[in-house]
Amino acid sequence: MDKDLCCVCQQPVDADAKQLGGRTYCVRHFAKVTQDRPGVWRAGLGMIAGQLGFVLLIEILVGLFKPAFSGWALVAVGVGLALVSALIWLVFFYQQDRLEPEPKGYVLSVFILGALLAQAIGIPLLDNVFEVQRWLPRSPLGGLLGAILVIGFVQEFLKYAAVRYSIFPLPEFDERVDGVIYGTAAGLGYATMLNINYIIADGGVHLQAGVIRIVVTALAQASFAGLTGYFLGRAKFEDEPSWWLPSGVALAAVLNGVFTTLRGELTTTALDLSGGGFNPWPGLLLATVAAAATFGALFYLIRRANQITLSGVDAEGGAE
Amino acid sequence: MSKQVRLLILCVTFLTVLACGAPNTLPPATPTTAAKPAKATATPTKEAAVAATPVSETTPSPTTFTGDDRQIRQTLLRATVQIIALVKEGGRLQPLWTGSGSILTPDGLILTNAHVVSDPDPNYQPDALGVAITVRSDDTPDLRYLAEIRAIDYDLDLAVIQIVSDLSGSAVDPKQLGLTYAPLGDSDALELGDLLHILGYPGIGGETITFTEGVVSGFTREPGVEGRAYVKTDATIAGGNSGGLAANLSGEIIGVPTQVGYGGAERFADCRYLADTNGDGYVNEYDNCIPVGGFINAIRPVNLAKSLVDAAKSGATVPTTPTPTRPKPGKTAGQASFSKITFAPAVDDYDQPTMAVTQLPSGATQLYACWEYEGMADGLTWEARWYLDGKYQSDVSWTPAPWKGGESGSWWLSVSNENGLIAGVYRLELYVEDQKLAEGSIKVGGAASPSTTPGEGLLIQGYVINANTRRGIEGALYIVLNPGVTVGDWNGDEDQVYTFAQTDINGYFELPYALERNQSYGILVWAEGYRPVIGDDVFIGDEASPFEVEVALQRE
Amino acid sequence: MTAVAKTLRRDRWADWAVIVLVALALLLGVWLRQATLYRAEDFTLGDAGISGRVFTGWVRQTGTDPLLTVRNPLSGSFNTVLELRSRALADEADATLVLDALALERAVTVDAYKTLSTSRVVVHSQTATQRTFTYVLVDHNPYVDRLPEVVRGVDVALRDEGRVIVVTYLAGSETFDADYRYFRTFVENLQY
Repeated sequence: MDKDLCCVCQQPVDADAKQLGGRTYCVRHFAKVTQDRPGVWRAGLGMIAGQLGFVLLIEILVGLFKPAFSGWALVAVGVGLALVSALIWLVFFYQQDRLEPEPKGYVLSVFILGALLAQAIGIPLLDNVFEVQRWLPRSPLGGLLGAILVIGFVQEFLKYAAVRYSIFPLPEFDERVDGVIYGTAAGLGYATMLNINYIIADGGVHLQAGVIRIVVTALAQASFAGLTGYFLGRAKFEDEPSWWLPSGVALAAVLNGVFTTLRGELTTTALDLSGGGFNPWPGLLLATVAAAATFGALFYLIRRANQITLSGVDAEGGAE
Repeated sequence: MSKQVRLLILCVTFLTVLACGAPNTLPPATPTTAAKPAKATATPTKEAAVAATPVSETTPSPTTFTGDDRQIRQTLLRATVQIIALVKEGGRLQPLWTGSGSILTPDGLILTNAHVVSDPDPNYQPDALGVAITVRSDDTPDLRYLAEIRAIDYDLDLAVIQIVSDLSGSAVDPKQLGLTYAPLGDSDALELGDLLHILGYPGIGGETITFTEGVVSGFTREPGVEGRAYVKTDATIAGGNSGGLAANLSGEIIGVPTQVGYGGAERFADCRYLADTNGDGYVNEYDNCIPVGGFINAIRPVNLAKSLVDAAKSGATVPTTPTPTRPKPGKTAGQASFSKITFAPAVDDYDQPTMAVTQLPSGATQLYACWEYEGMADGLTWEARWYLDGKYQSDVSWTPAPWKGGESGSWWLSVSNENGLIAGVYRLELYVEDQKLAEGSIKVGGAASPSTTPGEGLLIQGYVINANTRRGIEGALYIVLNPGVTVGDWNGDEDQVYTFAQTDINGYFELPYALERNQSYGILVWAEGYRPVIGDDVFIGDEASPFEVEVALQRE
Repeated sequence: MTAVAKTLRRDRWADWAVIVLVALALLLGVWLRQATLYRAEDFTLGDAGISGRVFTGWVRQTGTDPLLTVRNPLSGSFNTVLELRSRALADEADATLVLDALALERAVTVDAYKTLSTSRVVVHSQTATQRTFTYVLVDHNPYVDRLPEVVRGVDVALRDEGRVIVVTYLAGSETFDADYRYFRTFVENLQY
């Protein structure tokens, strides 16, 4: 009891062990905490580019060949598209992570956990209990508030839980970046489940509009969950006040709600005589911008935190 | 994989499976009901579902009841109906008076008094007979069917009617009715002191079926009637029970409680003004009075009715006394009558309406009210009152003046305004000798009339689809607002709506009215669960009519 | 050690704070939902001396009979309707008379009209008569494919001096339970 334990691996440490945020680290794990992991960011970039490319590819293919799927075939193709979209990041990530990989099973597990939580709690809660579709479109202000309070908080909390109550306390969660990694995984799992539900519920979607919606959902959910994951990462390794985590979840929820409302506004076009009313492309643009901005910001913040730590400014406690 | 993570995944998988399988259960709304005030009747409160077996053959065999008194009473309850004489006033059926009746067969043959279903005076004939049946003993009777007279005897004051249609007038198949009935007994077998069950509906509306028990206290004779003319009882039966069911202990009908001395001037001994039968918004002496009250203590023996019942069963029969004539629409001193008022935008060279309208668009400059008349006479004082939104318009109304139109023919009155008639509800009331003979109303303004000349306006039709599946949305609304009203301004008032349509199962809709050209309209497309799509200032130019549109809505 | 203990306590606080925050947000969300769905504004029918509250977003129409019709455009294939009528009736007569007359009028314009039950209810601490009924609405337009819609309705006859005020609730059979609350709120807020 006199000896400190490393907060990550619970091994006893020397007296002069490094401290960070009130926690003690053994040498090995202190080095890991501040690891930069450029692979993660490359994977993030790859994901954004990959999703965009995926959309364009599908649009071109559908435009050229005009396949006429119907019934089960249409549903199957739709589900396939949703899974491909999810895989894009996973593939990029695993490829980039070759050097010092996260345990593959773990990332996948958090992904699946995110998906299950969406199906078991998130979607039924929003559709059947809150019935958001009934009252959100009624008024613009009410819609925004409702999007934040109900949709935002439910979704972000579930993704937060998928990370917090599974991998967060384990020693494998040993880097700041791990928060972003696992957060993104949970977010993509959640998004995949949303997409699959959306495809099946409508009995198969029109591919051109559908693939855009799939990608938009994936990018958005991954971004906000990544943000939550960043907060989790900092909470584990640094001396953050107790309102740090709630703020993180709240921030993610607010961004989620704002994004949802903005996406709705941008994709609903004005009615003219021949009809109209819908254009999905602005949604894609918005999602791309949001994802790029989020990951860019997270990359910058973590890089800065690592640099500060390594330069030894905070020998004991204190975040920047 | 660590045990913790695995366990967590297992739990969540379990929850997921549950969530997928669980039906969407919302607690059903329970209407606010208070305890029903118990009616002081002797009827049993528990429902014994006993019904006489509906036989699809010609004559149902009488059911013999063994023992169970409560079962008998249940059957008698169901077999006693309330008969409501209805008259058509102002286009609506209104109650005139009520009485009771007994169901004789599962096909809906009913025995009652003649004065309950008819009247020797052709001026007081009901236009229809409503039949209300008791489903549960503590419920008011349900008005379900309309019936017609099959056989009637005014001297005996007995009649047999048959259920022919439901409330809307569509014919019902008598064989499918399966009504609870009571068999006919032998009224000659009655003796002094025998117990009788008497059932009926004493009041006007709101009263549930009443059950009275009495004993046979005597018999009376009557010239022209063979055998027992009346069975007297010590029970005091309220007047509305007239025509109802009187049965012996075995549940067989042995007579019809009859209000003696009914008809003629005595009819209105206790006649009250209870309902607004002429539809003018007031309950006063201009309405039909509804006879209530009085007491009965005499029962017409059923044996006197048997020949009538046989005659009714064998087919349509001719009533033995003055045929009820087709009532003239309206009553007055003298025989004058007016037909229903027809409104039209114009009359032709023969003074006939060019078309019948129930509504005129705003901007219409003329309104004609046309009607036919019979039995008038020159010199009779007649009056026409115009009301706009309930307010009397003295400048266009006709004050009482001598009629100069002859005995019969057609007549019209008109109101006009060069700059367009003021929008509102116009009502015309026609009086002869201070009695209202006819009235009608029509709405001017509020909605546009269909374009009468093709090519003038633009008819919009098309599909409202789900943006992602491109499939039609059922029940979506395509709403066009009046020119000048933006969607943001619209406060939900239907008067600001120019026209609208709702999509069918394919998402297809057609606007019923054409949009005027060279005009801008605000258009709103709405469906539950989807984001609304709005277009302010949608300009209608020279597009070909009908114009196909496709609106995509995305789910929230 | 104290630093570590402090850290652990802080972590626990943070965990609970997140949960409390989310719970609060959801409660606010529920309140927002109720406020949005059931938002209402006042209306007055001066001539008839009746006032009450109608729901925002519902399409309104005033007239002579019925005095007021409000329709919910977002309730599915049959728009839920609330109607307000006033019929003169002597004080000693029973309200069932008016309801029967109404039934006769309706039966002519719709198909398969059937009265289901009549009962007494307590509204505004007086007894009112309530009748439930059903009918089928068929669109006879040959160019449009509408499925026949089963409609359930409730009439409540409220007594006033010299008249009966009838509030009618009409809803498609699937939305009847979900929208019933609107009917109850409307009747309870009625003043006459």
